[in-house]
Formats: sequence, structure tokens, C-alpha cells
Amino acid sequence: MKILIIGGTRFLGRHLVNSARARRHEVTLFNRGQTNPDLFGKVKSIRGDREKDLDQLSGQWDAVIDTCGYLPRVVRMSAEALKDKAGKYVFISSISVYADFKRSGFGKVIPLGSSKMRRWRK
Amino acid sequence: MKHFHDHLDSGGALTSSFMTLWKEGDSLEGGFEQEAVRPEDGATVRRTGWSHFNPETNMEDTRDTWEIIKDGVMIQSEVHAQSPATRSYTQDDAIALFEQAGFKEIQIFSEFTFEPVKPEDTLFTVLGIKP
Repeated sequence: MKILIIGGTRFLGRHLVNSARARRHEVTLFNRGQTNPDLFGKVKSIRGDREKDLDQLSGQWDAVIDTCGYLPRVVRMSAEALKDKAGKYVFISSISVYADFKRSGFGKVIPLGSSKMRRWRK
Repeated sequence: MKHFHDHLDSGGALTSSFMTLWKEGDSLEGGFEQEAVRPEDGATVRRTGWSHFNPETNMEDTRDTWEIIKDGVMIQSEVHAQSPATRSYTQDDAIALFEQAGFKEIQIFSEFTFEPVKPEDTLFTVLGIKP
């Protein structure tokens, strides 16, 4: 498979890159090159900021794995930009998106929660 | 974990990071304060974090207060609270999760590196293979 990994040099991304390469998948990285830029010297890398350089992503991939999205707006931008360029878009999120994970062993369909936020302006 | 295991093809890998949030003797409450200057207008952005760990549930509640202070006056504030926010795992807990789900060739790494985990690591990454 041709896999585009957004991020890929820190957190879990580096393990995804290793695992994909071990299975002979063709991996491309898209990141700013600010964190461990030489970690995967032989892997094709596209340098760019996901907030403003998505037009650098000219190619076709079987799957995109997004390992570094912190804001819904930003993930929406990349998902939109890649919708005709990738078979699947996999976003690595956090268990904190679930409304309640006090109990373990829940099923595949789980209610989502939201951060309880109070906002005021003086 | 079992859903991940069932979903994967044979030879597929699952990786996940974990944190140990508390150990016997630690305080149940924690906190921190961070400040940074916003370049556009020199305002101070302050984040005040609070957490409380419940040893019975093994989970932590968190509250983050964000404030923008300009010329000594707080002009905007937001409070983000999560209850629970995070579940705590020891290294043994995390390995057991992978084993119970049927993963083999389990590796455990220090923090977000390729270095082997150290016993004192409270942040670690586990990787397992579906046979």
C-alpha cells in the first residue's frame, strides 16, 4: 500500500512508520521537519506545515494516517484536501473524545463527549 | 483491545502510549502554571492546571484555566474541565492488556522513542503484533 503519514517522527507516528516499512508498504511523510527530521532518512518526505502547505500533497495514497491533529478545524482542512487523493483517512485521536470511559470493555459504538468549557470575557 | 485485535490482519501491529499517573505515596492533587507572551500584542497567556487522581478508579480529573492578561488586567478566560480525563496504567497493566487481547511480540519503549523502557518511566509506548 501507499501510505501518507502526517507527522510520523514523534509520538506514535514513528512506530507506525517502522511497522509499515517492515511490511513493505510505501510510506511518505508530511511534516514540517522540525522534530527528528533525520529519523527516517530513506523515507520520502514532503516538508510543509499542515495549516498552510496542503497544496504540497500532490499524489495518490491508499491510506492517510494523521497522527498530529490537535484542532478539528485543522484536521478538517487536511481531510478535505485529501478526500480525492486517498482511499482511507485514519485520524489518531484520544480516549478523551469519549463521554465516559470509567468502565472498560465497551463496544464499538460509544457516545462522544465534549470538554466542559466555561468561557467569559471581562 | 479485543476490537483492535479482531480488526487487524495476521501480522498487523497495534501501538499505544500509556501514562502512569500516580503511585503509592504521591499526592492525589497536582498542579502547574505556565506563562507565555503573545507576540502580536505582548499579552501574557497563562495556563493554570489542576488534577486530582482517584486511586479507587485509577482515573484522573483535570481542570485547565486559561487567562489572557494585558497591561496587568485579565481580559479573557476559559476553563476546560474533564472528568475523567485520563486513566492510569503501570507498565505491567499495559502489557497485560496487550497479552489478554492476544497480541504477541510485545515491545515496550521509553516515552515516544525507540529506546527500551526504563522501570521508572511513567510515559511509555507499547507495540504488539497479531499472530
